[in-house]
Amino acid sequence: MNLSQIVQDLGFLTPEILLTGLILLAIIYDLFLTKETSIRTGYLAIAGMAIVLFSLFAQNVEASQGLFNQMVAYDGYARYFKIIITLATILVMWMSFQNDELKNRTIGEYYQLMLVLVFGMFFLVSATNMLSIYLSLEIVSIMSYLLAGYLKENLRSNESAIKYVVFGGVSSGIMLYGISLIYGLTGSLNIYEIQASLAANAAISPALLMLAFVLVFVGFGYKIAAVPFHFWTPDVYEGAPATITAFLSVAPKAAGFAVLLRFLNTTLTLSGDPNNIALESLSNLDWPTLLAGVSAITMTVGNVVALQQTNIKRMLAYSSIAHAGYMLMGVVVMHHNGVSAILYYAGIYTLMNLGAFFVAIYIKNAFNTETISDYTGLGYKAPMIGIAMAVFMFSLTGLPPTGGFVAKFYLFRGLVGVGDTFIWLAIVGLINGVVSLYYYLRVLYFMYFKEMNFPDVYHRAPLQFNILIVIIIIPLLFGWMIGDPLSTWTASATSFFVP
Amino acid sequence: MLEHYGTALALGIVGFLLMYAAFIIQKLVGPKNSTDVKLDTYECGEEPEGETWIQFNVRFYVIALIFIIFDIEVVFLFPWAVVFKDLGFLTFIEVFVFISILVVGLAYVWKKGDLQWVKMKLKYGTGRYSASNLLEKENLKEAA
Amino acid sequence: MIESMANWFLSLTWFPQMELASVKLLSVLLVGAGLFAFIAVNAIVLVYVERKVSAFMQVRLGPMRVGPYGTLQTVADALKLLLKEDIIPTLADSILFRVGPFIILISAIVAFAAIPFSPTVTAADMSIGLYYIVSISSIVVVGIVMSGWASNNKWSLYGAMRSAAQIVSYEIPVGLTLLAVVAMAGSLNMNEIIIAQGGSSNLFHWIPLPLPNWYMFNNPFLFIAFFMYIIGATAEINRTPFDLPESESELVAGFMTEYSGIRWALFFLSEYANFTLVAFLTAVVFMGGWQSPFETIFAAKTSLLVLLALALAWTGYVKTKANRLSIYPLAIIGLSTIAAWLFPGFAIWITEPGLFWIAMKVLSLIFLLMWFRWTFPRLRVDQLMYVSWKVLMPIALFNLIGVATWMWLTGEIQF
Repeated sequence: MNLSQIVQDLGFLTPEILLTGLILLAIIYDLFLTKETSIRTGYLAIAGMAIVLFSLFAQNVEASQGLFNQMVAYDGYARYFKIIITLATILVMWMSFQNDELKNRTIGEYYQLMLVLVFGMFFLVSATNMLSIYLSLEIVSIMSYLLAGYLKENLRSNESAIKYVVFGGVSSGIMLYGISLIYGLTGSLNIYEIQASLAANAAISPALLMLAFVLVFVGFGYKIAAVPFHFWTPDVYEGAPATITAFLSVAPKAAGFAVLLRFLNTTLTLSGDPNNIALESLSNLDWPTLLAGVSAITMTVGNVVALQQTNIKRMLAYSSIAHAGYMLMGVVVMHHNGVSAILYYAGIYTLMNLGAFFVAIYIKNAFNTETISDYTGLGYKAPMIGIAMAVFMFSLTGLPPTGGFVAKFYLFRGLVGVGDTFIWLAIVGLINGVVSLYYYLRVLYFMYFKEMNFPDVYHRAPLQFNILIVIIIIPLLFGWMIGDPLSTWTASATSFFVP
Repeated sequence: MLEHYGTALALGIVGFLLMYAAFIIQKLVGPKNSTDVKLDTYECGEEPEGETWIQFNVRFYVIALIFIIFDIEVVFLFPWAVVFKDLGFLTFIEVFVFISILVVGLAYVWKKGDLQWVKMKLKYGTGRYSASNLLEKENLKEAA
Repeated sequence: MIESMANWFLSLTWFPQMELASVKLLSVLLVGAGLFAFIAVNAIVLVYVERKVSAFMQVRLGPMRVGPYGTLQTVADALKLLLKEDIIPTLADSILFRVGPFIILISAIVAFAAIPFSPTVTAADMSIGLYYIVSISSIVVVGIVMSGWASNNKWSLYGAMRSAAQIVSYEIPVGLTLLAVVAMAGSLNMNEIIIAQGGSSNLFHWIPLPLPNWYMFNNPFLFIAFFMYIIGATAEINRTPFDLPESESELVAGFMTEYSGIRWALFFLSEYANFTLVAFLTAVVFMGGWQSPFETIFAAKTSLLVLLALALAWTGYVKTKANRLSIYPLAIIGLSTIAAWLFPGFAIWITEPGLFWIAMKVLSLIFLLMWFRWTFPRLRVDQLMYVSWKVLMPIALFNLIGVATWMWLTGEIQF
């Protein structure tokens, strides 16, 4: 490792470098703005993120690489998640312009913090060393705390930030302890060396190893809000600015899944490459069963508690826990079918969850309510909103003809494809799908069937919002139909970097 | 190599013991006739009022936060400074980037007013220093 | 130094035969005791000097009663402090109250371990000496906050908080200015930093004014850094004009308000220890440490002649301006010049590096800092923060880049 190697590796980090420049530029630019004009930082951020997105597409990931002594990986897998994150960021920033909560306040830092959050996630999805994993996880966490408490004078926002900090601090501390255990057991922080050391050395005590990996999983589980590390989710989601709630429920979750998948499928499998052969777990550690249990509990708890929610944000929060449970099914599979299913699900989930949140935010702005029972008759009053909400709810349930159905189908196909072992998990998943039908469709019930009256004057959403919603709906409805480009893309993005 | 730090440690221990010796001498020869008033907290001769251990101004806390950021920066720069001569121009660029990022941080803190010790700037006070009163005075001056 | 000292002991005929390790331990303890004695005596002397300097600057006589010209005054003071009653206020946090002064003094003393007094006399010749001193001496803050908090006195708490804010604020500009020197020297070892300043050259290498090759004359950026370091260091040791933490007219005695007798003496001792430490650090880092400013005997002789001419001019200036005879500079330089020209031994001696030169430099710096006290009025708290964060800090960052650029332009580093 010498200096010229570092300089060479920097060439593979174009999006990250652009993003860093963008962050600095946004900070400097915001210093010259007043409270009224600070929204311009947001415009700058969106424009910059578009450039970052372009540079991501321009990357050639045919030859994957380990950068900086294998601190981060450069591969198609990381790029896929980076693209999802960038897209989600652009959509959320766009929606933030229309969020009433954020009006009439200095807004520059909001966009700066979001950009730093994206920066952390970029490194999180490509991290291949326990140190870089932990560092980027901390960047993501700390920025999330700040953003959750962005509404300074709002007590709920403060409460959510404090809760988030406490839970986050504890879980990252536990994770750090797990990392130190792994380091003690294997003598390395590099995940490839950890894998090699585990594969070569059968003498490592399985119980201790299990403990170490469970402790590390606490950190990831907190990020993806898997039960039993989900307690922060509803309160944070309810208190944070609504756009940030939408963002937290998709982007850091996708990033958390990315790093979890890479970590487990590299360190705990016989060969580090999921593309070539079906993965086999290292014999002394039955982590798939453990994760299957977590997955089943997560989706069940998420769905059952969501049934009782009356606040749309809380309902969506619990539903996002349930979705984390579905996605964990793909991790259990240990096959590239599972990986590609998760990639697909992450993409679709980003769109549909963001869409649902955006509609909820719009309803809060226009009709000043977050309670589901107050949605009565909205489907007729504001047809556009009603139709959009219907699509998102169908998709979240996993009903055809939406993208959510296909995504769920891939997940179940992957799970059933590995044989009879996890049939029970698939059945639990199906039952949960039925349960979720109730609370998703309850929203539509209030919108359309509780009261049927056609008003004289229809509510019209502003054009900006309509365009945003259409942009989200079109791929959700038709993206999987025409040749299924997302599917081919995800199948090609499953290759991790393997040294 | 380590023995240098051993020397430093020994120096600390010797210093501590010698100081302690002074305390022992003081114990032996010093007077011991304390009274309640003598052991009271000093507050300009008055009886102490209220609690001392209170919440302190947040400005000190902000300064401490900024200090930590920049002190860590200095710690990171020390290894660079030592090898700078050997590694040459490339590290110069890298450190330039590093320092620029921190300068942006400094500019941010500066512009946001967190380096300002006196936060509030009263243009006009109340009573006879109120805006209307002062304006009136100025008008009178001009008239004169 | 420990090694050679141990060997010297073993070479003595009357010395009992022991293992090398135990002799080393013995010499370490001796060095420790010696340094402590140096610090204690130094403090006693400096207090006397400070009182005399202050007196002369205010056209007074200063202490005159105890001993000839009051030389034993501070010894008497120290004895008196030792005999005072030990008072710990009932409301104070007893443990922290006792521990605080120890932390302050020990951090000050331990930092002295890495100071090079001469090429051979360095208690611990660490490879990271400079970094060690900077980090150890910043522990003082902990002790100050500890004792201020433990006193349970409003003045103490205010003083401690102010002091903490001040010390941490000024630590960063000081660290950055020292960094510039480290980049120049390429080492953190104090002796190597001194050796890199050997010889003589032109001012900033191109202004034709022959000067010793000290870092403060090496390039314009380090020249600025020298002054910034002096300012920052004055603030770090809480001396006037930065003595807000113990400003008598506002805060009684700052964080020391509740301390008396021997405990208060510890504060006093550590204050002067820190004072000397800063002077030593400045001398080492910017002024060539134990190096002689004269490279050759001929240079010494000519430089002394030039200095003599300057002293003559100064004396004449004072005579015409104030009608007073300023005799001391003229006498000292005149005697040195005559000695250097007449006795070759003296000329050789003053070109040798060693204890004499670092003592000269340190004493001049100490005099400079005492001079500050009677020249500059105390700053306000907001001005204090302003100077640190908005003046010194940007200049220090700029300076660091400037030094790096200078090194690149003068070809000290390559592409």
